Amino acid sequence: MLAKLALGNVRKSLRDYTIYFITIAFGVCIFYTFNSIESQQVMINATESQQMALKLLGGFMDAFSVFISLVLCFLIVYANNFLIKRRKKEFGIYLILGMEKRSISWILVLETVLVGLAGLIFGIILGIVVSQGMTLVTAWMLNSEVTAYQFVFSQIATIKTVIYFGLTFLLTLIFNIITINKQQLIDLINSVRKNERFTPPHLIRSVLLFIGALGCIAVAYYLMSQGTLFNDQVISLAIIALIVLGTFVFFLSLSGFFLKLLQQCKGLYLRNLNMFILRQINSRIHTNYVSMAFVCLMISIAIAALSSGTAIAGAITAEQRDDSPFDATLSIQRTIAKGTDELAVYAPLDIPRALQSQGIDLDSLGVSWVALPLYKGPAELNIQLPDGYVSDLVPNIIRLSDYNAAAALRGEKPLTLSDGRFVLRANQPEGVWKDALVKYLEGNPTIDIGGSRLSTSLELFNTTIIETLATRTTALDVIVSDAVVDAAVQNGSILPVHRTIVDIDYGTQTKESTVVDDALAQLVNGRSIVSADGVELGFILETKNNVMQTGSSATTIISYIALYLGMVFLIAAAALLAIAQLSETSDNVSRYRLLCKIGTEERMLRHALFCQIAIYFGAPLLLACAHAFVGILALNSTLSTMKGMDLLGSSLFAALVMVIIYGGYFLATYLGSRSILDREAIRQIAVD
Amino acid sequence: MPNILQTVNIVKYYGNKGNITKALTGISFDVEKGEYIGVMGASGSGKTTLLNCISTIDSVTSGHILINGQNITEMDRRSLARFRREHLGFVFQDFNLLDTLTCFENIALALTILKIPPRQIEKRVKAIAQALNIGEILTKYPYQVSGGQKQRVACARALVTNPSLVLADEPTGALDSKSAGALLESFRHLVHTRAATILMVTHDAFAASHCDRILFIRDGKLFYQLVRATETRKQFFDRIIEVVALMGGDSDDVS
Ligand SMILES: Nc1ncnc2c1ncn2[C@@H]1O[C@H](COP(=O)(O)OP(=O)(O)O)[C@@H](O)[C@H]1O
Ligand SMILES: [Mg+2]
Repeated sequence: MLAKLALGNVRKSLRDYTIYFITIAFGVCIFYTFNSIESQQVMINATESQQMALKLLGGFMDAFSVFISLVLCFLIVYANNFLIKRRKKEFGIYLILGMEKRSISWILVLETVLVGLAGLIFGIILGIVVSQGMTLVTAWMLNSEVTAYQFVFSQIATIKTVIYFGLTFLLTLIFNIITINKQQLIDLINSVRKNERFTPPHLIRSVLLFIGALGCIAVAYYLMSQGTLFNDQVISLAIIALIVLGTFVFFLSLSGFFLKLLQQCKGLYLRNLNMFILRQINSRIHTNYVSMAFVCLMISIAIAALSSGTAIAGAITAEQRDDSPFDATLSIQRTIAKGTDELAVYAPLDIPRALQSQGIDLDSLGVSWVALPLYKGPAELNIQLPDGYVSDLVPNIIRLSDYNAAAALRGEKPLTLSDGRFVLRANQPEGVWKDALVKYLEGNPTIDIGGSRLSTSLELFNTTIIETLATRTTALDVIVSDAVVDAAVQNGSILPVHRTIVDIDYGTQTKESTVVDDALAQLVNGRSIVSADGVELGFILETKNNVMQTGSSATTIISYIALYLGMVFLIAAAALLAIAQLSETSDNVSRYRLLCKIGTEERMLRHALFCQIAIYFGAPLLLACAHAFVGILALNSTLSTMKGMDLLGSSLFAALVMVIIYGGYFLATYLGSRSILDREAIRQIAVD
Repeated sequence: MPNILQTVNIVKYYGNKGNITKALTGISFDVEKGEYIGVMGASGSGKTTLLNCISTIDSVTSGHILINGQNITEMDRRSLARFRREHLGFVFQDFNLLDTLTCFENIALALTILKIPPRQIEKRVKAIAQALNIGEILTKYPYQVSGGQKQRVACARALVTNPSLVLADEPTGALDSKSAGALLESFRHLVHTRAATILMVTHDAFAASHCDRILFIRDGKLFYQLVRATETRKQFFDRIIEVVALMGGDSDDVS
């Protein structure tokens, strides 16, 4: 009997339950999908380090899931509260009909369980479908292949999802029962909320505030566009404060501003229900502006996370490809012990001979290699960067023929250098660091090496990366002709080699590159060579495979975290708006009823409702897009790692996610509100 | 004079099988164009129900209602809404103004939903406000003006569209006797100058004494009719009191 009543109720108030159901289903789906990442590896042909990456990713997801589940729990309890509020009158009627409070609580329990279970099952099914696709994406991002297709079902993720959401439902249950038991019959019956006291708007004040808000936001945008977002902490804080302040004031004054504006053009103001819509929004702005501002900021973060997350990931991959010009690089470097005289410990090093003496025979692996010694420049050789940048950098010195040998190994044309010139080389093809160097070079600087004065210019600036690197350093090199280096070494004015890199090309063996990687590692493992001054030097091996994999692991982790957070923020924002709008529509029923009484067309009413909800959803979205756009541009120009960032592609991706989640909520809100309008106003004009 | 309103044996039951309230049990009467009609009766006698049925806000259980020759009992919801905004004007007991709109906007609302060109709206609102003596308060919000002024704004909203029939449910119910008298005089004036037809529900004999004709309703049926001849309002008032006493209803029993 009770179960039937509960089922009937759910069916009757299906539209009221829509938002609640969608929120559960979306939440469960996302939660399941991201928690099933670790289980997805059965399908991925992962190397050991990739498996490590997946494990790490799983760990991250675990940690974030705690936070996310709190957000979702709050949302579900909030949405459920809205439902109960709307149905208080119905429960009052049950009480009048002689039903006991205990029975009503039971109906509620059954309903909550029913909808929760349906949402949970639907969400998990959706999650299973989505996670199949995600496996392919994971494999692609990790640069590995998918083994034969296999249906992935994560038991752990399912159990976790059921436990987390089960607890959430339990919480809503407790809330519901408390709410019902606390209520007196009379409250339940008279629970039709009275409109709060109307306060007339100060339109002029709104206009001034609105201009102020735009000013705040404009200043913040300007500061961001100056690339100062990440450089100066004080300015960063100021930017954030301006944006937050501007956003709040923006929504506080938005409707008043437009009201005033539209009142100036009577043709628009007195058309259809326009003035009603604007007055309507304006009258509730004091209760709504905070949530709109919050929603706007949450969406800004979500958009920024969604688009820059994927963009950063894409950029990292692109950068990793640039950073590994050789299949492997073996570097031999000495560290300067504290307190030792720098000059004393530098002694020339003949790497080929040293390798040979240690029995390290690179040729036996069938690879081509080039040793590229880097001479430590004397302290006087510092590069004076323009004001505001770190200055006093002592570059390494590279012999032109050595550089060209490495270039030849990459299949590149040799560099030519006319007399009295030098080339400045850096690892940074983009970004602030490069800008500083460009500024320096624009002054056509000169340097002195071993008695020769050399000059350079901007056209000679070289950003070719000469070794396979794990991370881009800010190291600077000066490439000069062999004669200059030799002369300087002769007269002792140049410092000896302090680091030698051995660039290795696998030639025809690229296919079995991992085998060669292992062989190389085997060869140098535990070996060291001793320099002329008796210092033991170790080998550092960096392989292209390694760099790419570290990169792709980072990429995957960054994009998934961004996606996870972005989507949950988006859902939270949209659900908040949806619930606020639905309760607003039911608060406004008597106003709509009056409009019906005096004969307003149904189409006009629905249009007014649509406009109202569209403005509530659209305004925060538009401002958030602007915030995110400027923010992403600032990010782009500030971080040099953003090179090759595919902003368009990732923005499209963010837009797609937006449309599905935000658009879905908008549609559900409009349909729900429309059904309130239909049932409680259009079909029930005579009431009251 | 042609009939603007014709009701033929209207019956209205509320509720379903087990629990029926018979609010109207067969009422027939005609109203001529330009008449100022009052409907009186005790609380619960069915006055509001009658008005709701005529105003197409509620549907009849059986019977017919013809306004301007159109049978509104056979129209669908959309045509009814259209009929209401084009032919009817409403004045409610509790004013029913939108608190978020200024008085001007409340009146203009009736025109904007008719899609009247915005240029004309301002002129027409100002004209009707002048006629009802509320030109000064147009920029104020309803909560800033008195009850009498609120009801004048509501009247202005009802009349600004030049409806063929104005339906008023206890328009003076929430007003003190002075404002009530002034409002009823304005109504009178409008009947004469605009050839408006007014059907006013009231339980107040004083308010009813401004009318041309009064229908008395008891238990959902037409009980008696009183037509004002050449007598003064005071004399008409006394005759109304007699009928009220005859009906046995208590006129102070406010509904
Ligand atoms: N929506 C309704 N549902 C059920 N009964 C109603 C409804 N509206 C009115 N009634 C009943 O119909 C009768 C007439 O009511 P009404 O027309 O409001 O009387 P009046 O306006 O003359 O005081 C009353 O008995 C009232 O209880
Ligand atoms: Mg009544």
